[in-house]
Amino acid sequence: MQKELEELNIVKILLFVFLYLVIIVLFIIFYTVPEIKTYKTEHIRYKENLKSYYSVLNKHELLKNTLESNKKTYKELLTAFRTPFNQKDFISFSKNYFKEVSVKKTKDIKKEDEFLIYRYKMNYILKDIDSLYKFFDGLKNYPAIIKIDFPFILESSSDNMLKGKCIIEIHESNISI
Amino acid sequence: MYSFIKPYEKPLIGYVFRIWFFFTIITLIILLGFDMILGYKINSFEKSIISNNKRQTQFLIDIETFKKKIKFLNKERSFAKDVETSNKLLVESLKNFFELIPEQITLNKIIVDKNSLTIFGITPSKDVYNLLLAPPLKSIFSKSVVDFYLQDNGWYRFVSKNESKIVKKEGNK
Repeated sequence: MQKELEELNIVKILLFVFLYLVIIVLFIIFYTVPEIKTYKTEHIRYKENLKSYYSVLNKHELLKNTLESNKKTYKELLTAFRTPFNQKDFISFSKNYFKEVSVKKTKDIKKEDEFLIYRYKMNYILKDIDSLYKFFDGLKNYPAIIKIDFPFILESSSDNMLKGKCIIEIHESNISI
Repeated sequence: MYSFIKPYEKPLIGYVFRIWFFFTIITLIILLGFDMILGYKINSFEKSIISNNKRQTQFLIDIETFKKKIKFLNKERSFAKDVETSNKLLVESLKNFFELIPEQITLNKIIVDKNSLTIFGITPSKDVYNLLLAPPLKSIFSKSVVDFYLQDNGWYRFVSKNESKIVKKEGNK
């Protein structure tokens, strides 16, 4: 080795250094640089994708929270639209205001967009007109969407009572939320 | 054969070459490692993009569903409000109507329809009806017709038919 080191000449070393540089530079040019370019392109694409992803995610979360919050706020309304009408329960509720009540389902079922409207004939007897007003007030809190429809008939009976007839419309929704 | 220098062992591959080869290989390994890291990152980006796109597509579907649900919930609110308003108008109309009836007139029956109101009642005289009940009815309804039927006691049974396109407006007063 001693001998070989003694034989070292600068031209040989320079040649090796040159060869080393050529190999490394060629490797960098043909392999590393394209890889870096691909990386940069992919990185930009990834960032753009991430930006779009988070934008959609934020919108998703916002709408999800809005829906959840609305569902909590209007829980009673949603339940009212989706609870099948219970005739017995309604009669029992109406008896708080009327002396006698009868409710009979008609065959008339209307369909308005996503709503189903069932119609019932309602006959009732009441002592005074205030009971009717109280019934209307009570309807606001009844767990169903009930509309009093026409014709609305009210007449006095011989026993000093008021007899009434009307159509009640029960609105139900067939879409789940 | 005579030689001017002493013979010594010459390795097939010289030390300089070995050192050169060592450094070249080390450098190439470092560069390859670097490229592999880049390759791994590129692959990771691609995987993330594919995964994000999948989730984004699902989110977009969900967003449409949420929008539809929110829209429908608002529709239900509006629908329920309409029902409540309609009931409120009917009861207010009844209250207002009963306030119109003078003490002298007795009502037997009323039929409230969408655009009409039919009143059956008893009045001591035609004048009482014409002076006390007819004017407010005429101010509310566009058409008001009354028929009187004389009773044995001298009072009149009457049937008043009132029509209007906007019966509900009575309740807005």
